[in-house]
Amino acid sequence: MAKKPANANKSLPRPGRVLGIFLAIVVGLFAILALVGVQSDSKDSVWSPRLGLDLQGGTRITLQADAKGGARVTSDKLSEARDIIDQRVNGTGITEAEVTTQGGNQIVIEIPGKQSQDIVDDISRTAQLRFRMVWGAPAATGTEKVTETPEELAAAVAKPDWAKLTLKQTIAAQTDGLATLPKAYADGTAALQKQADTFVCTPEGISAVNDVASDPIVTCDTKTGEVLMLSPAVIQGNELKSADFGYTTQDSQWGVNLALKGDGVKTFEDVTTALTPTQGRFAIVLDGEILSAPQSNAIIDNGESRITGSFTQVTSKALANSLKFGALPLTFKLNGSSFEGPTLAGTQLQAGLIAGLVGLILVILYSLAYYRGLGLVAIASLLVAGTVTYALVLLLGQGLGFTLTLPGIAGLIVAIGITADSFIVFFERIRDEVRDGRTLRLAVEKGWARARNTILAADAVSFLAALILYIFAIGVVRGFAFALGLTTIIDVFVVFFFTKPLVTLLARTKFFGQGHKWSGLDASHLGITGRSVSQSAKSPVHKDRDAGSDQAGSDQEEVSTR
Amino acid sequence: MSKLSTFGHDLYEGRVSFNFIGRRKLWYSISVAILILSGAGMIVRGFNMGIEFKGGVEFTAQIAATSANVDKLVNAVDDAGVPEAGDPIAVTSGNDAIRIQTKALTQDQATKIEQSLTKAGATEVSQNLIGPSWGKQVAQKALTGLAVFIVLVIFLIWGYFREWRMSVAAIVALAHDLVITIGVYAWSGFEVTPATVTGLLTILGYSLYDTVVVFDKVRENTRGFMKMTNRTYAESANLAINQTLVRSINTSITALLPVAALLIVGVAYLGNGPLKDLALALFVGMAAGAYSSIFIATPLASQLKEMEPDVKAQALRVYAARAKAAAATTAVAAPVTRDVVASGAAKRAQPQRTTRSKRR
Repeated sequence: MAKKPANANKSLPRPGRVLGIFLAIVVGLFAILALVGVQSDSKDSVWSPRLGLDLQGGTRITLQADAKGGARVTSDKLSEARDIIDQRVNGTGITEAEVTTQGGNQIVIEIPGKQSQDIVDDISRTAQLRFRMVWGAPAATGTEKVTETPEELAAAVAKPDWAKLTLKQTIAAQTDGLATLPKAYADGTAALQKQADTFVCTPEGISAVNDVASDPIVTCDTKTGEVLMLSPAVIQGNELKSADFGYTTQDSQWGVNLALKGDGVKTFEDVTTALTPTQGRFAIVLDGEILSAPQSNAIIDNGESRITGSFTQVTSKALANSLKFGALPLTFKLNGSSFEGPTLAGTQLQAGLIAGLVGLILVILYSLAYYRGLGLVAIASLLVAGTVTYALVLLLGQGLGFTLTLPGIAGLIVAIGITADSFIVFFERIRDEVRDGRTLRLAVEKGWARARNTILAADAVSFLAALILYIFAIGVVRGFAFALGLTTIIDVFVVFFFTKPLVTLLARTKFFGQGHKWSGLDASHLGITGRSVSQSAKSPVHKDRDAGSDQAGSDQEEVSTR
Repeated sequence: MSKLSTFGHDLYEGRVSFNFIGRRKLWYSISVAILILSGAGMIVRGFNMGIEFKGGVEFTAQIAATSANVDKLVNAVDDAGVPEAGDPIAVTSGNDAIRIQTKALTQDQATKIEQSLTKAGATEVSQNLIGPSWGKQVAQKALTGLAVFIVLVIFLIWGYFREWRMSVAAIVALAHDLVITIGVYAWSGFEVTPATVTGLLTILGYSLYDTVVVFDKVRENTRGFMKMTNRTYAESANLAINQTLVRSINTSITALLPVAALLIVGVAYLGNGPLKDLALALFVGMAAGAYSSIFIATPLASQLKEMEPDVKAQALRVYAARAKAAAATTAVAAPVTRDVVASGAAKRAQPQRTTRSKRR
């Protein structure tokens, strides 16, 4: 730092050019925007910022990955889940919905515009799709009294190591009876039978089902009320390639077409080979509930099949969507959902804009009252900073999908003060130098050389705070941090390439350079008596100081003169 | 205004000087008293945690904000047939909205209540369903952020000023601001929401910003002070505070003005909400930050520095030189002092020394 002021003096002579280049860049920003506007086919104008849900209304759903299922939450799995949920949202016919990951274990879905309860239900479904064998049904009415509690039964069912069962054994247990299973599983199947006997087919009953892939379960189909005992999963949702719905004239009904991939193709062939002779059934289970338990009518070796039954167009489409997008690699639970109505959103936007305007006017009035002519420089700088900020918000909205939220607007408003502070540091330094007896033109350069480092250090701290806030913040708070960080950077650019050259230019004018009464730099305003600011009050010793030495030198000089 | 700027000049020249450093015991006592009060508030009063930290559902119904409507909507919640909602808390928000908070509900239950509210006359119902773990995550992340920030700032300030004492003083001032702001929240019973936490974290940056500016001047004034015989380190630091005082006041005002606008407009238009929470935390924290950079950070940094043997020795040299000068003055008598009070032009020859020698 000690060496720089001398260089600064050298690089100064062309404030007009710096100013010109800076303004050209600002114009360039808008030119890029205009170009983007011409090229984009989006119906949204490029000239208005993308508003967040809290400012335009809409639904936001936050899902949290549930680590309880034993699956580790990795960023790969999370982004895979994000893609699937994205498809699922668009599968229900809504476009413009945005699905993003957040904080390493969350997925946020934002749907602008109207509220849609069904979407909340659809998306927040955890949707784990599994194919299971049908091992049996509840015994005919009240054969045996069940004395165990549901918890004891569940523990008994989970006790054997079901994962050790081969596919063959699992299928044989259906075709040839549960008795064909090894003895170790006898207690488990007995408990399973008791579970089936006592199962009540209600939403509560289904939500109590612990749908673990490797264990057998008892559950039901709410549409028919049929309760079934099911084997451990033979095919899982991630082995499904695609699911479609359609109407065929062949059987004159709606149905769902499935296509499996990977090992699923072979497994499905094995299952259908075993089941078709007896027209046995298998069950498709989604989140512990039986979606469909179709009969196997043919051996399928290509992994493609068709589920028919009493489907309508709507139900077949819903099932196809559920199946297609059901294969989430993680389970999620609803962490929060919010719906902001358009009126509330409009009021929030209005409040944000008014607060910004009021804040700006107050700061402008204060700078004018205190700094007079220099206040105009501060206002011009604030306006330029505002223009650049607006351009960048628009550009980032186009490029990175940056949306302006209420906290974001608050961040921009708070930044007014921080931006103004840079000017204050600079102006006060100039005034200090004038008080030290320099002419205004020199005071501007000397003052700048010192203010520059202070501004950089202070802005660095400010930016660091914003950056950390951005990294460690959740949800809309990030908008605040982003706005704060963005404006801090803009502040540095504006002060360096606009305010400073502008002040240098102005110092050459008569109005400022000679300390006009309204310039904010007049002698009496500064409290100087006995000279005008255009005159230097220095002895040759001072000239020497200005030539390159800095404060350290001056301190030594004090010592020597004493 | 122009009085203020003349005042600025007097401060700069040292004609008017507030003894910030010398009276540090007084400032420390005041701050300690405030801190104890804040701490007591946290223990005695606790915090009014917002719905985001407890989990629950918040409905915002668009309807004229009258007490009759509040009662009507509370009844509507009770009539919705969702006993899980508990006793709803309803408050007016701005002129045309009423906010109702209930206990944690499922999406279906929330929809039922929403329909019931619409039936009761609300033209539009916004809802915000918050899982109980949401606020905890926000707080956890904020704490991690705080820790990372403090470590980084210690190194940043240390690297910039090459002075660990300034790092320590800055962090102490930072903690001071945070505790006071938290204390104000405890005593006033303002709601603590994630927006409040954001505000608190923003104070970190702001409080330091202010401190950095004052420290920068301190460093400038104390450069090469070991060779000086006219000023001790503490006096140089005190001069720095005085010289940046006008800037500190101006900065605080220009920073607080927009925040105040945010606070007032936020309350007037929206009643409770993120705008108010954010602005309130910022307002209190920024005011505390402006105070602490002058009354806590710099006196503390100076105090730590004064403990060094070298600095102590320098101070003794200064005092000795002064005693000698005083003796000489009495011996030689008046003319010398007259010289110092000379008019501008003469003064300019040795600007800084002249003014400082006028110090009492």
